[in-house]
Amino acid sequence: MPESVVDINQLRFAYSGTPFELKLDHFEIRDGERVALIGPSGCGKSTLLDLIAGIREPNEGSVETAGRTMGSMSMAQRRTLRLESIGFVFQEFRLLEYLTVLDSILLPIRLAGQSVDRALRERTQTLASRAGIAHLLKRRPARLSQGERQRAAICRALIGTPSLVLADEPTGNLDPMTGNAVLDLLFDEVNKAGATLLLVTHQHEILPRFDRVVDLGEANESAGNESGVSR
Amino acid sequence: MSSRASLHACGLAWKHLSFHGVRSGILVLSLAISIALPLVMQSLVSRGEQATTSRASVTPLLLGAPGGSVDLVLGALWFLPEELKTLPARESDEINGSGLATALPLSMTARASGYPVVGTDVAYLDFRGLDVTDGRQFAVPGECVLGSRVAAAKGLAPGDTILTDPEGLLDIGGGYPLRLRITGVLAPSNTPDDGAVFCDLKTSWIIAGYGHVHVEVTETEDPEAIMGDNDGRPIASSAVTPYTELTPELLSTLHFHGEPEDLPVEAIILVPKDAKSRTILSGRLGLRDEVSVVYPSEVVKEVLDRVFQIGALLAGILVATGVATLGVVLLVLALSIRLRKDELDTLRRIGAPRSATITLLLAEVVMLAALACMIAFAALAASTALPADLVLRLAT
Amino acid sequence: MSVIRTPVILSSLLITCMLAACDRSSPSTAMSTQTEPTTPKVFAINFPLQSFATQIGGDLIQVEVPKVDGFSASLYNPSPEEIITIQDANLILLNGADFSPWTGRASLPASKTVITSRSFKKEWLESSHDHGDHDHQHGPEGEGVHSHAHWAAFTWLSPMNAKRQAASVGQALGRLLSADAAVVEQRSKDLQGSFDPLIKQAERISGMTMPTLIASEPQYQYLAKACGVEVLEADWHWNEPAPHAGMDSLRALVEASGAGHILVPSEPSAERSATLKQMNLEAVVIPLLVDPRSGDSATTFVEALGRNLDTLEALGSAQPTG
Repeated sequence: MPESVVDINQLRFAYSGTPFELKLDHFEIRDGERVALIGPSGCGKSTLLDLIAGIREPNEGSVETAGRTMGSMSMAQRRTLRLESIGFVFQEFRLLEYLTVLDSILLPIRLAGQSVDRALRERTQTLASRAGIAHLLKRRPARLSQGERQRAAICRALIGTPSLVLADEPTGNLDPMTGNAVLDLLFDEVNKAGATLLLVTHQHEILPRFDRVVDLGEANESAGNESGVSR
Repeated sequence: MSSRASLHACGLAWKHLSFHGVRSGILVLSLAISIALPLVMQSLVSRGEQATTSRASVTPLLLGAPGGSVDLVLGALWFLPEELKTLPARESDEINGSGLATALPLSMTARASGYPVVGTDVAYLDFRGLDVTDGRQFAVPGECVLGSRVAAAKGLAPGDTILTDPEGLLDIGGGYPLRLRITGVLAPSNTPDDGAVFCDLKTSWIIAGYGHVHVEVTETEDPEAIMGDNDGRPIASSAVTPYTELTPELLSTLHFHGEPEDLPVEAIILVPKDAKSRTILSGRLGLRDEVSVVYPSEVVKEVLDRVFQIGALLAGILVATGVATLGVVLLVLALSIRLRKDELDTLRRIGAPRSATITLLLAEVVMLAALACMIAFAALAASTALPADLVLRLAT
Repeated sequence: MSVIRTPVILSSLLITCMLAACDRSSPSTAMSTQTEPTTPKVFAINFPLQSFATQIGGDLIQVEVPKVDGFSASLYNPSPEEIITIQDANLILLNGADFSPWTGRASLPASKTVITSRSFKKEWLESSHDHGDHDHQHGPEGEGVHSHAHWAAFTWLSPMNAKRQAASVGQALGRLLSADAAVVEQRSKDLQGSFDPLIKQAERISGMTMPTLIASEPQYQYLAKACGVEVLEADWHWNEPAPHAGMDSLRALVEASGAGHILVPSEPSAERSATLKQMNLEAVVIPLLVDPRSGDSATTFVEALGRNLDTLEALGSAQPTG
């Protein structure tokens, strides 16, 4: 049986001063699994991604990501973990406006202090070619379409060959056709990299693509539901 | 964070600054101005002080008619258009005759194309270390040499002429403007001498109407030239010439009204032979009521002390302005960080080390400051190229 | 300084201070720091001054004189370029008393220029020569009648004047050659002393009865005064080619005065001598001693002036006293 890439136990997280509370008795994603995370707005989907990535700390319980227990790691260690093992794809792309597509893709590598060698250049080129943006490497985001931007963002998330890709509604801002194409790319690249995917979405029509669908609205114990819905 | 990561953060900072070129430019310029202004001001004041003091200190003694010593120094050393009382040229002759000092008489009342015409002794040029680089120095009345700036501004060279400015329409006795023949151009000295026209003292007297030449109007072919007849002597009309030029032929008819030694000079620079002569001379002259002996360096020091009080106040204002500008720039940077909240959050989510984010922001501030400093120091360096007597053009 | 003008002057100075910069190599007082590695040059405008300068300065100085090339130094009128060369001399010795009128119109450095006859300016004699004077009204205020007197220029023909001019040269050279002041002073004293016998001789002549003398030119005024001799001035241009200007006035003067001698600056030509003979006039050569001599000339001015006085004295001695 594959190892757990994400293993959450007895989790409780609340934003101070708000009634929101996320409670998960157990949540696990295995290596190579492609999991969709659904649920009504405000049920804590994005918060869960943040907790898995170590951006936020739970009030109670443990979060283990890529074999590391977040509670025992410093903030700097968690940042390094994100940089080296987690790829993030956001709904609003989050490309830096002043960087070209090439610089954007290489950003995590450079932030990690790695040198951009020939192999890496070739990988960037391959990745960009597969994403259909090889000819746009010198452009800045302002001169890209929405779909092109998200493709560039996906390349940025995958350049460091992460073991876990966290995608927060990556097609939310795209028209259905473009959204499908972007999803195709994401799935292809995740497959090729042998990475695990946890994707937040509201689009039920794409759920058949996933190994497993988790409805956080139901899973969240604070909402009085049992965890996990598998297809 | 590794040094490569830091370097990359700096690279990001540079890319961010250049992407927002206009904004960065405005910030750099504002900073540069707030840094440069007090620096340039300070530099100009101190160099100005040095230049002012040095011109005064190489002018050991000044003799003038009793009156304001400040006016006398400004007039004789900077040729500022102060109306000075006069003393007879005899004073100069007597001091030269005493052998105690070299006396250099100065007459600064005339102007040519707006520049002061300084009537003096040929030895003045030696005294000020002024070399004639082009042409030769003046040899007879009617000739002049130009300060380098006058020559450059007017595009004049030896062989050309320059017309003195008429004093006024009602200047009946003073005669026509004099057309001066330019015999030489002086090497630049970065002193007020660059902006003056030098000629013989006698030339100044002719301009002022104390001497004249006889133009033979009978020789002219212009029927307008002769206005009437006075016992067989023709009376010249104003149509003869709008100016006078002392040609070699006319020069032989030159004469002065009265003895030249009684004619007026505004100031006399005294260069004592030695310290003893200086003491004797200042003692002798100090006893006389009809003349006033002035030590230019003392007068300048006294005035500078007062000027620097104003200068210090001005510098204070500039520093305050600089601090305010700095505050505004810091505020802009702080606002810019707020505007970049999303960008910084993205970096955090991607996993950028905290130190990288700090380096990115600090590098931008350092780069802006460094560029501003470079511009400020370039402005400072450029300000040293300002000519010494630019001030005279502004002041007069 | 008035209260209102103070801020104006202060602001001018402030701007001066701010902008009058860059005086990196401020010119030093060239005069006080100037060193003269070469022999000082002394310009002497005529023979007497040349002679005095040479006798007093010796090899301590280099004496320069007008380049007259065949005409008299009294007619010397240098070009501006020549004036520039004269400006460069360390000492410029001028005669004064309207000798060389160009000096009054040239730009010469006053501190280096010495008018050697200035000390006896009150004794200058008015020239009887017609200069075509003019009277007219002008001036900065347009008032005052202007008339310029002309002075007789040949001051040095009087031994007393010459002595005073020599003293003036000695004084100027003493200042110029301050390192050799003692030598210069001694030579100056010796030179002045050498005039004493000539002054006495002039006094002696003034006690003699002299024949009636006519001067061919009006330059002998100082000599005549020094020797107490009456000299009638003829306006006979003795050295001009025929027809002789002023011939009639000379003849009238001879007839009226009964004079038998005429003073001439140099030996007249044979044709001139014949003319004078016709009028029973004997030419007495009294050189004016004006033109500078070449460096190898051994005759000093004192000797030359002595000869002039001898000539004059001989004239007196030759005439029995009555």
